[in-house]
Parts: sequence; structure tokens; C-alpha cells
Amino acid sequence: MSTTVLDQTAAAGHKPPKPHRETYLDAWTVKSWLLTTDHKRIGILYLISITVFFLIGGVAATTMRLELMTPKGDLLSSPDAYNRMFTLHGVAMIFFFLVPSIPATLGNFLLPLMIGARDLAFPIINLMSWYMYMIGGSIAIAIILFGGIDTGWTFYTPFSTMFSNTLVVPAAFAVFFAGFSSIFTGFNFIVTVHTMRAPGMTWFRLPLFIWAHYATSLIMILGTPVLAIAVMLIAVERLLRVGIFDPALGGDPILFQHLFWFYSHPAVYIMVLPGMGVISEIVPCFSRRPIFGYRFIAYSSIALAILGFIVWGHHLFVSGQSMYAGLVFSFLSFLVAVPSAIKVFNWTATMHKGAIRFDTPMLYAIGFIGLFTVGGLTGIMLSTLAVDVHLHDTYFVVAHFHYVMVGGAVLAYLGGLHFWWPKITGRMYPEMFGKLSALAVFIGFNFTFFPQFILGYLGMPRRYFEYAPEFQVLNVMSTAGASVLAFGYGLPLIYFLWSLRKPPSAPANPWQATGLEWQTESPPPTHNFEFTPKVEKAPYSYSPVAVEGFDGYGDHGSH
Amino acid sequence: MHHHVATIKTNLIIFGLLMLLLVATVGAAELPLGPLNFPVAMLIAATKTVLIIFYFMHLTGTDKLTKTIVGTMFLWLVLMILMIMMDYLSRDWLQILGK
Repeated sequence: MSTTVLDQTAAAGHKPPKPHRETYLDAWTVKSWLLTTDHKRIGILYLISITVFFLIGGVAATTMRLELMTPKGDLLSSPDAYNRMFTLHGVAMIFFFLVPSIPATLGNFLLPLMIGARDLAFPIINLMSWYMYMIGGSIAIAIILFGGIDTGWTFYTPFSTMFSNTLVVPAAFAVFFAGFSSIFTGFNFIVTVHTMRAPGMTWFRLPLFIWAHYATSLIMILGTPVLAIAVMLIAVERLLRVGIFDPALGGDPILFQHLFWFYSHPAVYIMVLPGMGVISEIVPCFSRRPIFGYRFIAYSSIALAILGFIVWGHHLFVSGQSMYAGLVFSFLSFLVAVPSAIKVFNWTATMHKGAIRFDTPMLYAIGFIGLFTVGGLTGIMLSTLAVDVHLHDTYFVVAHFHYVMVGGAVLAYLGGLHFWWPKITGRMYPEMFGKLSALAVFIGFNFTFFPQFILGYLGMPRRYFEYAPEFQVLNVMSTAGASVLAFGYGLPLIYFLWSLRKPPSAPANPWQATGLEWQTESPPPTHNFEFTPKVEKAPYSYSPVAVEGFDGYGDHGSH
Repeated sequence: MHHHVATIKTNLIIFGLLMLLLVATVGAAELPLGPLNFPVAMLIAATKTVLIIFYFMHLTGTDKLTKTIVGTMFLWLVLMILMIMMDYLSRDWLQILGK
């Protein structure tokens, strides 16, 4: 490591915590958790719940990768079982892990702390949001136990309404409840940001994490009702035979795709925008430089939220949508590259000439920037009409969205979890294992998904149980990569839990970061701050002053 | 935040208007308006919605921010319908060569 640096303005937070200080973690009865209205505790409830779904989705992914080691279908009993497996993977990962991942855990925990508030605007609705999620999640688990669903996470009609004999209607209800949990979160965030900012916390002093969550919340409240209605219409058509999507009853199957993607394309931004907010916090902190182009990054979050709503038709290029609509949606899709590129360029410019430290959160952040860029650029390829005709429904699409969703959203989530773990729990994690996990995730991820770009380009269709023998080598590479990836995911799960065995000892501000959340103790008291904080300067006022002591692990000056 | 609580009289007037519009919905469905049946039905439905949002959901007495958010939601609904119709109405515009 080259230079050890310290932002002197934040050095006051480096004292060890007082012995009997009151924290939000003091009460440990079941009631104190299940009836809590504390945004921090609800964040923890969400953290535990989404981890369960991440494991469920992960087991399904592992099963699929093992099945695809050989061209013949020899692990699962039938192609139908394989269909149920990838549907389980998609539904668990999208609706029950990725959508709530950063907003409902880190967002819930940090949003009030970052703006200097005591809680969210509607604490009871915040708790209701978790219960909604749990109702949806319980239905999803019941579906798994009682036979599963085989429509894919996209529930495309007419298969889902006319042909599938699996539990489509309960799945629609599960998604409906999960959707309402994110609507509750979204509007809680919007009202909180508008009405509960600390004195001096003007809009352009808000951390970019807050801008990203504000933009995400807009998508949640504007898009999610449409998904909820679309899946309910499937239930209505299946149960009551009302003609909405079924041509035999006077409906139109493509209408479902329009309604579904009106939410589900913006939902990509629900998943990745909060991740971008996390990266905007980590990069300046570990580069010791103010963020480059603050306003551009803030506005680009809003631009992504708006543009994300008018590009959904690129999912329908080969579905029977009109050629004219295809042209318009293709052009609009190219536009999304602009705000995405603004962010990538600005993070890179922030690192330029910075005093960079490669701690675990920064390793994850750098991984995010690279992988998200690959995911974004391949998205441009897919939004080109003629190219999409060749690549549609191939593994190229699978690789593309995993680069955005895993390389982007999951890496940001893990980076954020490492960055704020000392704040959330008051414990540090073993840095060496942290770095090992970041490297394993990065290497394992690329080994898993890069071969899938080639497979897709060569013509291997997605969602197939068996495949042509010439695709086997690349599939074996992908499966081998997945095992490295699983190792990378498993490590943090173990060492985070391991870190909880000792009493809290992390300093209030181990990274010498400038945000308000670092000005209170770790873990924070129930009411967040002992005094209402007053904000008097712009965010990210980092300066690369070389002094000893930037180290949360107690080995000062060892770098 | 100031809340203007609507009087019982106002609520009754709005209720009466909604009942009239309900009759109008049924009546318009019976009239042979041809292609106009659908837009007329939608217009009546939209009027009912606006009345409910402004009076029963108290939008009249709230601040600009709430009005902006609700307005945005309407705009988004219009955007969705327009862009879906862009597909349906243009299915025959650009023919595929040779077809």
C-alpha cells in the first residue's frame, strides 16, 4: 500500500466506544424484533430474510449448473423439473433478493442516518413493508414445497394462463405482496427525504446514496403497481376465464409482455441504482478525493429512473411487436447508455490521482465498475434491432443481465455490506478474508458468465434442459466458475457471523469517511444521534492529507 | 402541514355526482356510439377518478409536492398507455419485405 492518509476532519470518530453505551441492539426479545419500528432493526430483519432467499436461489442455480455439466439431461428427473428450477432461481433472486437487497437493508438502515433524521417518516408502514415481504416470501416457500412453478420468472402468457399446470396463481399473489412491500419502502423514502433532512442538509448536500435511493423509490411507486396488476390479471384470467391475454377469449398475449416489462425493465434500475449509490460512497472514501461531478451523478440517477421507463419494448423485438415500435424502443434504449456512462466516467475520474486504498469495499467497488461496464455495453449490443434477432433468448442475454445484476447489483451489495458492517454491528471483519472473498467473487463470476456470452453468440438457447455436445467445454467452464463464485459468497457469510461472537469494538468511523452516519457511534444509539446534526459543508470533503491512523484494525501506521 | 377537512355537504355533492356518472356509464354503454363507446366510457371513468382523488382522498387541501407526485403518477399512466398503443396502432406501418 502506498500512502496512509487521513481526513483530519473526521479523526474525532476514532475513539473506542464507551463501555455501557445504549445502542439499538440492546433489546433481544422476539417481541422487540417482530414489533420494532426502528428503521435499523427493520433493516436487519430484511437482511436476514433476503439472505435466506439468496441461499434458496443459490441452491437452484447450483443445481442448474450441475445439470448443465453434461449435454444430456441426467441430474434432474425431467425437463419440467429443470423449468421449475430456473423459475425458482429467477423468482427468488429477482423478487425476493435483488429488488429489496440494497434499499430494504442498507437503505433502511442508512437513509435516516445519512440525512440526520431519527427514523423514517412512517415507521409502522416500514414494519408493514417487512410483513408484506414475509407474506409474499412465505407463499413463495409454500410454492416450492408443493411442487413449484414452471413459467420462468417472467410469467409469459399464453403459457402461464392457458397451459401451465403448476402453481401460477399463488406465485402471482407472492409477487403481488412482495411488490407492495417495495411500494411501502419507496414512498417512505420519498417522504423522508423531502421532510426529515437535518438543518443544513440541502438537496445538493445529500449523499449520492440518497439521490440513488430517491430515484429508486420513484421507480418503485410508479412501476410496481403495474406489475401487481399484470400478475393479478393472470390470476383473473386463469380463475375466471376473463379474456385479457388469451386470444381465444378476445385477449392479446403481447399485452402481458408490455405490462410486465413496463415494470420489469425499470426494475433493473431498482436493482442497480442503489448499487450505484453505494459505489458513489465507497469510491471517494477509498480514493481520498471529493467525488468528481457530484451534480452530474445526482441528475444521472434521476435520468436513469425516467429513461428506464421508456425502453421496455426492447424485450419484445422478436415477440410480434410492430417494426415501428421496435425502432423507437431501440433508439430510446441507446439513450440509457448516457447517464450510465456519466456515472462510470465520474467514478473513474474520482479515482484519478487519488490516494487509493484497496480495502475490501474498494475491491468490490472496482469490480462493480468493470463488470457493470461490460454488462452495460452488451446491453447496447442487445438493443440493436438486427443483432437482437440473432441473440434473443440465447445465453448471451443470460450473461448480459448477470453482468448487470450480479456483477453490478450483488457486488455493490457486498461492497456496501463490508463498508457499513462496522456501523451496523459495531464489529470489524477479518480484512484478509474480505479481500479473498472479493477476489473469489470477481474471478468466479467472470469464469461463470463470460463463457455464456460465447455460448449465446454461438447460438445456445437459454432455458434448455439439454444442449448440443459442442457446447460442453464452455458449459463445464461456467460450472467450474460457479463453484469459485459460491466459495466467494460463502466466505462473507461465515466471517460476518463469526465477527458477531465478540462484543462491539469497532470505532465510530473506521474508514475516516465524511458522511453523517459516521458521526454517530457504532452501532448507533436507538435514536441515531445524541444531538440533531447540523450540516455546514458539501459532501465528500475528502482530502489526501498523509497522516498515520487510517486504519480500523488497530495496526496504525503499518502500511 | 395544513389539511382542509371537507364538509359533509361537499362529500354528499361529490357522492351525488359520482352516482350520476355511474348512471352515465351504464347509459353510454347502451348507446350505439360505435368506435366512440370506448373513449366515452374512459372519459367518464377518468372524471370519476379525478373526483375521488381530489375530494375523497383530500388532494384539494394538500401541498404542491403531493399534487406533483399524484400528477406524475397520472402522467406515467398516460405514458404507458400511449407507448403500448404505439405498438398496436403501428402494426401495419412498416411491412417486412417479401411478406
